[in-house]
Amino acid sequence: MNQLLSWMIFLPALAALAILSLPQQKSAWARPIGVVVSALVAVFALLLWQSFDPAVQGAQFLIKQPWLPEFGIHFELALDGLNIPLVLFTALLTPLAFLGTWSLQAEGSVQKRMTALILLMETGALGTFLSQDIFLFYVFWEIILIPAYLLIGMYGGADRLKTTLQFFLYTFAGSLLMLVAIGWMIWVQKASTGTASASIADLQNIQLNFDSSAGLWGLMSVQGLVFVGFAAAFFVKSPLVPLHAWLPSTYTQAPTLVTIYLAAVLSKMGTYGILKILLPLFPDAARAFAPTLMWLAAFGIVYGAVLAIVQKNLKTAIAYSSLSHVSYILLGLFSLSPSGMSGALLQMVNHGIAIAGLFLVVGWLEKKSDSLDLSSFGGLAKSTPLLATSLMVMVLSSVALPGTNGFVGEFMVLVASFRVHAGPTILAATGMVLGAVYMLNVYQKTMFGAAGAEGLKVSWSDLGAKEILVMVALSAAVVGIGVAPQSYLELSKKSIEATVKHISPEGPKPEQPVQVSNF
Amino acid sequence: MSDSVNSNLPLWILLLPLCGFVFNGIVYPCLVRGVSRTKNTVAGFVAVLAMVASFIVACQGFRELASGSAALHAQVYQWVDMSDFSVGLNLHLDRLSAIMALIITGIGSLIHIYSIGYMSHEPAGVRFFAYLNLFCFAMLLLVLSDNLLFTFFGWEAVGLCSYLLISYWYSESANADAARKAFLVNRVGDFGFVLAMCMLYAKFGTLSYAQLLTMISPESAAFLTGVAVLLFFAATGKSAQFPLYVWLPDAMAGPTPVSALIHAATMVTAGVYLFARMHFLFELTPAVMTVVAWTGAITALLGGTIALAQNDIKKVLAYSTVSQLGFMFLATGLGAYQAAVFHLMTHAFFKALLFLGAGSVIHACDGEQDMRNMGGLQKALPITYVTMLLGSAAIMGLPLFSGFFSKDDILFAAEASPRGSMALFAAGLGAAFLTAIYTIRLLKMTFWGKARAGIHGHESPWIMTFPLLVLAVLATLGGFLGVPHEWAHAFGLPGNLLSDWLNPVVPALIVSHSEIALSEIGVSVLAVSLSFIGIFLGYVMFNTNFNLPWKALGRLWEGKYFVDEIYSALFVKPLYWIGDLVARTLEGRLLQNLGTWMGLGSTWSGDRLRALQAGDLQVFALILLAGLSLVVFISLFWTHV
Repeated sequence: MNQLLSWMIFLPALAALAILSLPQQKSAWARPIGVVVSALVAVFALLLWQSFDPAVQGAQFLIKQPWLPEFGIHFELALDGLNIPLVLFTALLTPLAFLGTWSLQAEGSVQKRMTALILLMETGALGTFLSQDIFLFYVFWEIILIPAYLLIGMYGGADRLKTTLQFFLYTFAGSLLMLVAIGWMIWVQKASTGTASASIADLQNIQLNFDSSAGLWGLMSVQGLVFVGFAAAFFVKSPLVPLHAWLPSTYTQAPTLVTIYLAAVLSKMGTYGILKILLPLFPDAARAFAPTLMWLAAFGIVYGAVLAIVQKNLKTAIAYSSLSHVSYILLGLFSLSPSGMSGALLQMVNHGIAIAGLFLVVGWLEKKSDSLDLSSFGGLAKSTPLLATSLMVMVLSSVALPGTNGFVGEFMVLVASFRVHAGPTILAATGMVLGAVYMLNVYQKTMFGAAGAEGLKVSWSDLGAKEILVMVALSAAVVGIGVAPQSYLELSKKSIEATVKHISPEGPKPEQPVQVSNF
Repeated sequence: MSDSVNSNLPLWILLLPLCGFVFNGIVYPCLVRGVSRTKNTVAGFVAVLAMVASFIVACQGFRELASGSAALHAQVYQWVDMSDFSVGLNLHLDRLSAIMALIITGIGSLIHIYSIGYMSHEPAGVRFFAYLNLFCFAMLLLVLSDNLLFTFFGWEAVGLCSYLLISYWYSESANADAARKAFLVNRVGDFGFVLAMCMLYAKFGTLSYAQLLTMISPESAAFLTGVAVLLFFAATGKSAQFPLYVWLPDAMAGPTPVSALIHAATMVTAGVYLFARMHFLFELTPAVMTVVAWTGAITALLGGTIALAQNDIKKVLAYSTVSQLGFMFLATGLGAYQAAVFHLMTHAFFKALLFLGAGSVIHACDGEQDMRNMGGLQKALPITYVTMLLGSAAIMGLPLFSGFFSKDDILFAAEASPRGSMALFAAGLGAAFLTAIYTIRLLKMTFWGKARAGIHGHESPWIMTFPLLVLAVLATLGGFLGVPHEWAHAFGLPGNLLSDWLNPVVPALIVSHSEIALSEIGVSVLAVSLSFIGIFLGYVMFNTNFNLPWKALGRLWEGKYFVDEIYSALFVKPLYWIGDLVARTLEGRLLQNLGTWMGLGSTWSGDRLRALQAGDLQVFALILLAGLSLVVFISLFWTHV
């Protein structure tokens, strides 16, 4: 069972290599291979879910192999309560994303490269989520940048070069700071305990100097500086306003499949990093800065929503909506309370589901009308009822209607953060109203009204079998999680509670009993 | 009286409409492969079946309550169960929710039956019936839940159904606009609901009504006032009170059965239900309740005046609904929750009747809604005419019709309640007077006189007139469920059946009979004479001309006090203005071009690698770090002052 973790990570990478070495005339095989391999990974994830024991707190299915022993760096993978929702989600989403964009991907070598690079991104994402070693985490974190960079640069929209550059600069700058911080942490660990270890569980026990009464000067203490190093990487990737400048153009310019992956999976690497590394490793700094960060997150909700309202480009509007919704996740995380962080973790998956569905629909609309201008659509509900229905489900999830998954996460986040800090919560709750404004606006402009000027020329065929399959799966997840969220929350309950305890001022440091097995 | 009993009845009441939705919304279209191949009769039959079955179960529940159980309780499942947040779906059928459930399923069934006829010419009516069933499910969830959170589930879900049904004919942009407006205005109210739940949960750690009832104490007055204001705000949106009433008249864009069911009989009364349910909280915040009473009184007057100047038959009824909801809020504000529920019930009877009658008129006139083009329809539509006449008598409060008893209950409370005053009483009387005028105007323009635009119409089929007849009986006789004690004594009738029924769950209004100015009979006489004056005045005033004699006032009322325009100027336009400004300056110029400003942009085209060369990147990374530090710096300074 433990080997499944490695297989999940390396199978997509191997398949990517195989696809790249396909001869030119066989490049049509790329897509089927991509679907089959990612579906296989999804099956692995489901098997792991089956045998995952939510009652156990700590790592399960652990793999630990020495890699660079002099620095205490191991190849250390495990499932735990924090990463299992995201691992499941990533593994299940990838085949759906392939199927959903089947009709959108170009032919020939483009198809070949795109499929291979997306599989590489899956490797990077799953690796990031599963790593229990901080250096390994960093390696996977960086690996994913390369395919993302290539995909946007090669297959993006007209403005792709500027966009790629911006995306690269932001994410890479964040990563560099994180690398420095990681080096520091490993060094401190060796200096303080005598044995080198890069295991995140070990690093959690380091007490870095932090004077929380110093306010601003706390930032200049050791813990403050290292905190900033990690925060730079995670906040850029999530992103937290005002570090979001790369997002609108990147999401708009990237091809649909890549946008889905960026918005649904990559942004979760940032929020997951906050949950797994940033907050538990630097509990004092986390507690000191949490109120500020809550305000920033709440501001981000409103900021993204207001900008989404005024967009005229469909894809950019959804991109800003994503910014707004990710800020809910951040708000929940910074509340440092069990239900807030559980809500945030659930919201990571929820946002991924909804945003994947939304960008898929945008992709289909773009393909059919060759335009992303909101005013060029209209009246599609009549000609494409299935498309309209599936978009409606995603819209409802986005506006957090009770009964959909979006409500569970957002409400838990709001209740928890209100208890901690009422001010930012009230600001954040206005996002409920603003979110409905832009989402219904998008829905109305595309689906209702008379057929748009462009719409008259284009023949709007309804969804095909593959698209129906994808949207049914996503919609089932939206309603399923919305109605009965407890079974998903149960998976991470123990780990979240342990994390919160660790962050809290008097929290005892958790011991993590693990069974080590060989690779 | 025994304690609450575990029973599955509440669950069945809830699930049957959901089954209807699942069949019409998913199973049936899949079976016949496509919405366009579905048959309206099949869809309508299944939808009606689901509702009637639900009604029968609700009746059974009512009988069990009548035979002694305090409440029927069904634990369904634990929705979320975290260490610091835990809520479950539990259904609770007590005497208050039983009344609501009977109204929803009973009137719901009638409106479903009516819809079979009304929607018979519509292609793919399956969508309509699916939404209608879903609405009933959501509304039942709202009233049956034993905690605020699942009430909120229903609260938002009825809003969604309202959205879907208002935009049912979505090809018209105006309908889609109306639907969006309804959803958004409701969302503004729901913002208050969510914050109220946050406050209550943070303080008490529960959202269950029963637990809140035992935990809420008058000590933390400021906190309770906050919660009460937020909940009132939510109710203002859902129940179309001033100043959030603007969505309801636009919502008439939906098919008429929708207006009858959602925008008259059930959904818009959710706010009243919430007050009755949370009375233990509101009773501790008298200041808020005075505001509620005045809001209700103002809304009743505003709605009544605007209704005078409308020419669309459904718009008149819509503003009439706004006005009647104002009456209910007036009652709740005064602490007369039982009177509010009583009026809620009679209003559900007569307003559903009036809307369905209007639908029958529209159906007969092939979609014409402008009353200026009608007239003289009484001959062509005899059943519709007679039933609407009865409904009109009820809404005007003519003696012995249902509205007579319920409205007089409220007017009596306005002068006799400790929070009441002569000003509120006068406002209530004024609104009742206006009701008589606009109702006569409606009857006159539609049924009486000569046909003005050559529309002669034809009577609707029996499937539409049958519900009209049933509702006419209810609207006529429903008032006898709440005969005031003085009247009951005088005529030997059973007095105040409804009030006795509700006593265990909703407190009765306490009146000290020594201090009141007018007795119940006195109030009735005054109200009825005002109604008759209104009828006479309306009959004379709109004899030849249907416009108001006063030009400026007429324009103000026709323009609905220009509240829409004020909102647009105050909220909508500034929002877009700020958004555009930020998009152009901060986002467009500054953030998007950060790279260019670093001196990276000039050479990048086709020369990315050079741009990424070490020097520039480090500068960039440094600036990023500096920027981040600055943000943390500023905010830290802020939080630590």
